[in-house]
Amino acid sequence: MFQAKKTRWRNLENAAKIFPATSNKKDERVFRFVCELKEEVEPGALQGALDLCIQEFPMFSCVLRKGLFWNYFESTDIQPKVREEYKVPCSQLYVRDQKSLLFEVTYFGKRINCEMYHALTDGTGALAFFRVLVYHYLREAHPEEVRGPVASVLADATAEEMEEDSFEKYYGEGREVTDIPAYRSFQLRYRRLEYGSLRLIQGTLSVKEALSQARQRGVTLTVFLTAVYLCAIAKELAPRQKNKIVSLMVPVNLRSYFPSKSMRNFFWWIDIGYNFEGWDGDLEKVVSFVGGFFKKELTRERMAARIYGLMKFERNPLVRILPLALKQAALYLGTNMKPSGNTAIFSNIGKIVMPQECSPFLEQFEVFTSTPKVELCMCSYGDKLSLSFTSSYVDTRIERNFFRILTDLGIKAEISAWSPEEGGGAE
Amino acid sequence: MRYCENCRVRIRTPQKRCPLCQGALSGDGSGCEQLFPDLSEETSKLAFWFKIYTFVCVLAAVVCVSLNAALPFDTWWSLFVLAGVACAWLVTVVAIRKRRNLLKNAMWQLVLACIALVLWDWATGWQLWALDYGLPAAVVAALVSMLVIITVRKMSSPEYMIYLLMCCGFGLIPLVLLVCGALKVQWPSIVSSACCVIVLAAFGIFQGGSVWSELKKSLHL
Repeated sequence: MFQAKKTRWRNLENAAKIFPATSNKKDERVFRFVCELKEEVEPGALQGALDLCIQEFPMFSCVLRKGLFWNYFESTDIQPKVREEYKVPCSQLYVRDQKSLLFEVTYFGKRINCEMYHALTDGTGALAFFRVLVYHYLREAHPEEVRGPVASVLADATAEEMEEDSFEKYYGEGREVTDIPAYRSFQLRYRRLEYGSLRLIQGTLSVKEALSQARQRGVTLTVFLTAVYLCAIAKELAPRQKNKIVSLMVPVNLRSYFPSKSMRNFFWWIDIGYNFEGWDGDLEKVVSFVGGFFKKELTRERMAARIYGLMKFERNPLVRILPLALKQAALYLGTNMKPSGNTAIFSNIGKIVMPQECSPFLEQFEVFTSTPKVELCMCSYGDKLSLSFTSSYVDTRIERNFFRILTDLGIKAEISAWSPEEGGGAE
Repeated sequence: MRYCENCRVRIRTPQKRCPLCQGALSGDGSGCEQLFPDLSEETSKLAFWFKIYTFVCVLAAVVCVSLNAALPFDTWWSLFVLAGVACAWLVTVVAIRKRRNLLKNAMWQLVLACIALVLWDWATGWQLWALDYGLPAAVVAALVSMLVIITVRKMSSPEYMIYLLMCCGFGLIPLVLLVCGALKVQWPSIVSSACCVIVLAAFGIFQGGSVWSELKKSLHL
C-alpha cells in the first residue's frame, strides 16, 4: 500500500515543447516510418524484436505528463505491444491525461510501421530506433542469414549521450541576426478533407534516375527536388497571384552542423521562398536559386542564429513562471494565428543504410507525417527513392504537378495512395 | 499494374482512378497490392451517449421553465432546476474529460464542487452553510476517495503524490477561514483540517523523498 517509487524524468527540449501545445485533431504531430519486406510480417518475431529494441532505447519508454510550468517525460514500465494496423495513418498517439507510450509499432501484410509522437524525438532519432527494430526483426525471422552483431546498426553512443539535450549544449553559440528570410507566402486555399483527415500519395522512383537529373544540373538531389516542388506549386498560381512568394519549410537535422548523438529532438528548419513573378516555366532558374540559397543558409553560423530566437523566448524568466496552460495557449496562438505561414513543407530523411546481409529481405522504406498543409517526406533505400505527400486537402494538383514534372524528364514513377474515402483502396 | 497515360505513372494500390489526376486508368489490376487495411469508420459510443445526456438536460430545463411560466405559480422554482441541471452537466463533462486520470478527476471535482456550493449559498441568502459544512465535507470526501483509489489501484508515488498534496493543500482553506473567524460552526472545519494535516504529516514523514522528488518534477522551471 502507498508504495514509494523513484522514476527518472526529463524535461522537454526546446523544439519538443511546441508539440504538446499544438497537437490536435487537425495535426496530431505524428509521423510514420514504414519498412516494406519481401515477405509477410511474422507478428511473433516482430514482438520479440520490439522487446529487444526497447532495451536499447530505454528513453523511449516514457509518458508525457504536465507540471505546473512545463511538461515533462516520466519513465514508465508499460511494455510496447505489436498490433496489426488498426487505425488511420498518423492518428493520435498522445492522449491528454492518459499515461500511454508515445510510439506504436504495427504491421500489415509485408509492411512494418512505426509511428512516433514528434515530442519524443525527431526523424533522425526515430530512424535510429526503427533501423534497430527492423534489424532485430530480421535476426528473429532469419537467424541463419542475418547473424549480427547488432552493434552494426546501433549508434555508438552512451545512454547519457543519447539523452542529451543538444539545444541546451549549443545554445550559447548563436547571435541575434536580422536577415533571416521570412515571407508573406502564397497559401493554398483548396477545399479541405473532413476535419482531422489525411490523404497520402506516395511515389517510388529510381535513385539512379533521379540523381542523374540532379547531377546534370550540378546540384544535390535535395536541391533538385526542392526546386521541382516549388515549381509544382507555382503552376497553381493564378495570374493575379504571380507576385506572391511560394515558400517551403525545410526541416534541417542539426546533428549535421553541431556534433551530437542525441536521440531527442535536435532539428530546426529554414524557409525558402521564390518569387515567381515573370516566371516562364523554366525549372533551371529555380534549381540554381535553390542551390545558391541552400549553400548560403545551411551553415553552422546561420543555423545557430535561427535557434537563438526561440531559445531566448524559452529562457525568458517571465515566460518560465507562466503556468503551463497559459504558455500552451500562447504557443498555440503564436503558431496558428501567424498571418503568413509557409506554403508547404519538405522533410528529407535522406539515405537509409542497412547492413548488407539484410538486403535480400528488404523492399523499401517510406516515411510520412500528419500535416495541416501539404508535406512531402523523402527517404531512400538502395535504389528506391520514396516520396510521400501527405495533405489535408481534397485536391491533388500539387502532387500531380510534382510527379508530372519528374515523369516529363523521363523518370519512371510508381504511385500508391491512401485516402479516407477509399480506406485501404480495396475494389 | 494499372497505368495512367496522362501522368505516365504506374499505380501500385488497387485504385479505380489515378490518385494524381483522377483520370481513367489503363491495364488490369494484376500485380496491385493492398498496402493499408480497410478501416471502417469508428464511432464513439461515449460521444453518442453524452449527446443524449446533453439533450435530456436541455429538454428538462426547457420543460420546467415553460411549465413554470405557463401555469400560475408563485415562485420561480424552475431557476433551481436550471442551476441544478447546469451543475450536473458540468460535473459530468469534467468526469468524462478527465476519465483517464481518476485522481486528477477527483481534484477537479473537489474544486468545482466548492465553487458550486459557495455560489448556491450566495444565491440563496448567504447563510454560510457552504463554508461551515460544504467545504469541509467536500475536502474529506475527496481525500477519502483519493486514498481509496490509490489503495485499490495499487498506485505508486509518481502517480498519486502530486494530487494528494494538492488535495491536502486545498483542504487547508477551511483552516484559513477558521483562523480568520469567518465561520459560524467550527467543528467540521476542525475535523477536515486535522485530516489533511495528518495525511500531509504521514506522507512527509514516511515518504519524504517521494514528496520532494514529485514536487521538483511538477514545479521545475
